[in-house]
Amino acid sequence: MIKVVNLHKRYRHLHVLKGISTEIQQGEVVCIIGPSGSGKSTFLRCINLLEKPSEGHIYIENIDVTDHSRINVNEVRAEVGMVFQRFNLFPHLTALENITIAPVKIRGLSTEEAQDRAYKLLERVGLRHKADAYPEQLSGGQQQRIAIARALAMKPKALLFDEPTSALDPEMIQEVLDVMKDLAHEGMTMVVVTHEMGFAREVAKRVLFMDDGQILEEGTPQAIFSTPKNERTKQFLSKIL
Amino acid sequence: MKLKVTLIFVVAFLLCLAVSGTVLCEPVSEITTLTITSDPEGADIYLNGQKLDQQTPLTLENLQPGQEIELVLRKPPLYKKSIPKKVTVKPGKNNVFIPIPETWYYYMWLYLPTLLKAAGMTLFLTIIAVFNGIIIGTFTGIFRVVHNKLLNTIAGIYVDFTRGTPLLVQIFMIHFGTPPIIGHLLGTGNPVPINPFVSALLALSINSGAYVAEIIRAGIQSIDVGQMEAARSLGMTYRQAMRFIILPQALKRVIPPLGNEFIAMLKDSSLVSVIGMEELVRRAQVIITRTYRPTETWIEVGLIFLIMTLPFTRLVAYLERRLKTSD
Repeated sequence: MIKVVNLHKRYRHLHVLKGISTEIQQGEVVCIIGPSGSGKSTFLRCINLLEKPSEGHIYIENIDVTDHSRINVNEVRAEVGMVFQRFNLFPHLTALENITIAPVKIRGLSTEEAQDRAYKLLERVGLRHKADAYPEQLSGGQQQRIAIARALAMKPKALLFDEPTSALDPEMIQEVLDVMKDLAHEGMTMVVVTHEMGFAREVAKRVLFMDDGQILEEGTPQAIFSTPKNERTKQFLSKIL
Repeated sequence: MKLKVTLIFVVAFLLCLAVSGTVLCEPVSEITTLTITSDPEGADIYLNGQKLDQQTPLTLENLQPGQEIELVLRKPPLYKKSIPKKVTVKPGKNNVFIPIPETWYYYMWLYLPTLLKAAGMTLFLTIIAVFNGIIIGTFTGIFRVVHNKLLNTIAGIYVDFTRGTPLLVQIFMIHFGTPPIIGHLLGTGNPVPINPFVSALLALSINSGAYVAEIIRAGIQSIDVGQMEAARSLGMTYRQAMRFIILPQALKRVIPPLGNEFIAMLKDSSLVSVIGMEELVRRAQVIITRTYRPTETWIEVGLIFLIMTLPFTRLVAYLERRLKTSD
């Protein structure tokens, strides 16, 4: 579904990603773990082209999205949803409008269709009663659930999560993780950058350990968490678990 | 006002003529008279410090030629004491005209309608200039942030030039600098003078545009980059993200600084008085050349400006408070 081949990202003097290659299957949930500054977020942002890769190729359903002569970046992004650490809800729109704006403006849905879809999504994230609330009136956890609904409204083929619970109060983390678990069980293709090892262990089909712009180790959660092979992985996990 | 003064002069002149006419028709008498007229009439007369029962205009008789008298006129409560006038009575008919100055409050009251009308012009000029400025500035402000080198450069030069040169110089450039160019373009070579109103409006609009552009740019850039990223991640084009996500938020934040720009422009518009544009300051200058009373006039002009700006200052403060709570 998503195939990354020898991905590099450079900012002037900084070499952030040093040749990432991996493949994510349809319906697979992949968690990316690793220390801060290891390039996890950059990797994620490259997948939906929020960052322009310096080198290498990304294929989404066998289409090379790094080939700008042939693809429309905006269409690629519409197919790959993203959930941010800081939610990034649109503060001038209600929860409902946050969810409907993209389908209406980009997919050309009628307002009724979009609202129909939005109410179903709000139901799914348990916030049907908050449809008319503005982001500032919602807790962090509620905002993040709305943000997930917003991403889902575009019916994306995959969802990318960039540390979705890192900006939340501890007591709100679970409600967001629950929504994510439901999505995983429904077969959504998900790539999750996270520090929630419990979530990774429980939900992920595969865990990637990244450091210094490279994938140092990958495998099933059991393999990574119980019997890590790489020294760096061991060191990291010993500090975190 | 002008008419009134002229009228009084004419009346006084006719009065003198009538008086002298009747006198001329009569056989030459030895009576020595002194006719006292004033502007306004109906003033109390103090002759050598002694208040007379009658008021101006008045003809005193039974005077001795060579007699020296001092006249002071008063007309309370709206007029001040006139400057003492010494008169040496000559044989025959004597005439003396004494103007009585208005008190400061009556002076201000008298010129208030004229100044308020001029203030209306100032307000009108400012409203149109800022309105144009908002249109120019919105485009220029957006041109400064979009990813287009050419637009960035053009907008940058315009803003830097306008903000980096004095408004007075810009006014001169437009009013005095462009007529020869227009003449040259028309092929006649003769400078084509521009109406002061047009120059003033042009200069103020262009000036305002640059400042509004900076306000809009700052407003757009004050929106968290996450907003743009979130919009783009949903598949919006840069244009769509700007239109539906960034600008609606930016424009809300931009309202208080725009109010400040309006206040600044209201004050700065006084500079167009130098090219003869008849607004508040210019009007005041014209009045002063006639009345020689700069103190009261400028205080009044200052107060009128204050009364115009104060409500906007308060409004801006209120909007800032409200935006702060909703952010």
